[in-house]
Amino acid sequence: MSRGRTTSDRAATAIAQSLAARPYRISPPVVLTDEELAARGGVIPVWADPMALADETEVDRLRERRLFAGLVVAITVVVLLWTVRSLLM
Amino acid sequence: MNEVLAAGPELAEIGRGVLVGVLLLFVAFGAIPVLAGLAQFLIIPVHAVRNHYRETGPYLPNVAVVVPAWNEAAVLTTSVERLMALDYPPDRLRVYVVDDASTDDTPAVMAALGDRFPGRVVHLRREKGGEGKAHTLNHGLREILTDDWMEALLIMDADVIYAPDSLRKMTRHLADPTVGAVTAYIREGSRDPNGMTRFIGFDYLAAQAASRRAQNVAGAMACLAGGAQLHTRENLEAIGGQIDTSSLAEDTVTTFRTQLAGRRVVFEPHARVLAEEPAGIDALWKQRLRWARGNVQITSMYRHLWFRKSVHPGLGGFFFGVFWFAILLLPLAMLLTSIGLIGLYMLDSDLAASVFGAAVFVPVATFVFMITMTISVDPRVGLKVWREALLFPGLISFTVLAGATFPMLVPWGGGTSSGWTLFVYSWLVLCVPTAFLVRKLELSRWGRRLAPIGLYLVGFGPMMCAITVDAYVKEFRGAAMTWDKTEKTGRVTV
Repeated sequence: MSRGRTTSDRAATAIAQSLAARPYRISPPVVLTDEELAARGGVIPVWADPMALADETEVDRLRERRLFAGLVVAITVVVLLWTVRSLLM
Repeated sequence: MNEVLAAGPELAEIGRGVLVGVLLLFVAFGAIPVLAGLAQFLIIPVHAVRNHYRETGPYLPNVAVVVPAWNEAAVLTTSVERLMALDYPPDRLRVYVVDDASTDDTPAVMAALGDRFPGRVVHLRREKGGEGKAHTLNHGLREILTDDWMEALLIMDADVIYAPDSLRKMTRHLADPTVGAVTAYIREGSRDPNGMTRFIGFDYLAAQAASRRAQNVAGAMACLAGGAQLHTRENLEAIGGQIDTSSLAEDTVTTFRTQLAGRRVVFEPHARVLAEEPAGIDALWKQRLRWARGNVQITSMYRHLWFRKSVHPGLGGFFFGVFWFAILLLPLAMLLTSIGLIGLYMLDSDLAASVFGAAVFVPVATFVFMITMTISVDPRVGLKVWREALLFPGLISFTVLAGATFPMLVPWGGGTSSGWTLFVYSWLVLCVPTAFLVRKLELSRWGRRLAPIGLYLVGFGPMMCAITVDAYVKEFRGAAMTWDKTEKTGRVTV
């Protein structure tokens, strides 16, 4: 069975630091021809619009705040359980 | 001599005290998985503020999708059609189906798909197959890496269906040069759910949508989902351009290697992927046994890593180590807790009752907190599987816990009957061999009707523990590492 190490631990740290110093990866802009746009009913797809992509990410980021509501509900349910138990005991 | 005899009762008292202390430690050991689970679920809400979204970018690389396929004719057409319909630049997406010497209609299906999507769907065939998923993937990887078109590689299973926006939601994380791989949220997607698939639905909700958010926060990912792992080309090359073939959990090895090579692994909860999962106990057992044996193998492979932050700050961290071993050693924790409680009962039944009564609310509250939190991360799925969430430990365990939490409401729950008390203390461990019997029951004449009832009585959780025990036994005996493929029938629907 092979060992899990693929590189020395010190090298891994150095790689992580060098990666962090690199610029962000970019892809060439998407160019839609008139025919392609017409085939899509004139609606620009999200992937062809960097602003729409950014908005989509922002929506997902904000949606994560629902986790706080989940936490409140979970704590409430546990407190209710404890209260009922205390009242009945 | 007389002095020794005179000290006898005193020594016996000391011995009894030591024994009680040891038994209390056994019971306390059982609390470790509970507390580890609680800690993990308390971290999940932190994902609301500590996530990777601010470090993403509009990155749409050339993606090669590699689909390992062995006799997948029933599901391939739908899967490839869905991939071709992804909301992603068409000229930046190619699908490579690696046919592992299929004996069904896979070649004909692929020929038809190749004609429909020329240049975008490629059929790669292995003439000698049956070596497992990792070997099949490696065949595809060798072909794909020969030219430099591919910038990112998506490894998926033939049966999974990606939501249209899922791929671009994954690629946005790769804009960050520190990220080596991204995984998505896999959901059970059968259009005709039964008890088993609903249990799996809840299991995936807890283990993926909930737990992987905690792993994002902790900065250490245990496993890229096998059916949804997106790698940068750079990362694949850094880990050797090949998938590990020495273990049964090649996706976990890839995940660990990526992180140990200095790159991050990110979970994207809003990239949703539907998968077909086993509908029967035996099929589930084979699938999960493969995973569990893989995890046992990985625990040994990475023994230099556990609890050593100097090796990797996340994977070698204290919390990740506790989470990992809490699952792996859960059967041992259940056994020790049961021995501890029964031993205490034999020595001092009042003490055993006090310990059990005082401690029982902690796992009950943790369980309630965990399932409420889990359901809240994806209420659409959660509200469909809430019964299976409550019965995850089994109806018998549920009744035991309800009786211990509200003894006044359950006529036999007051602990006055010694038979009931001993049953309660021993069920913690007896549920594991009973799960083995439920699997045997499914294979019997009346199995199809009775096994689902057995599953609900014993519970999905104890069945996972039994599979872990089976994994230990098979690994200890050096049983052959067979790749028991899960049969796919195309039940998944969006």
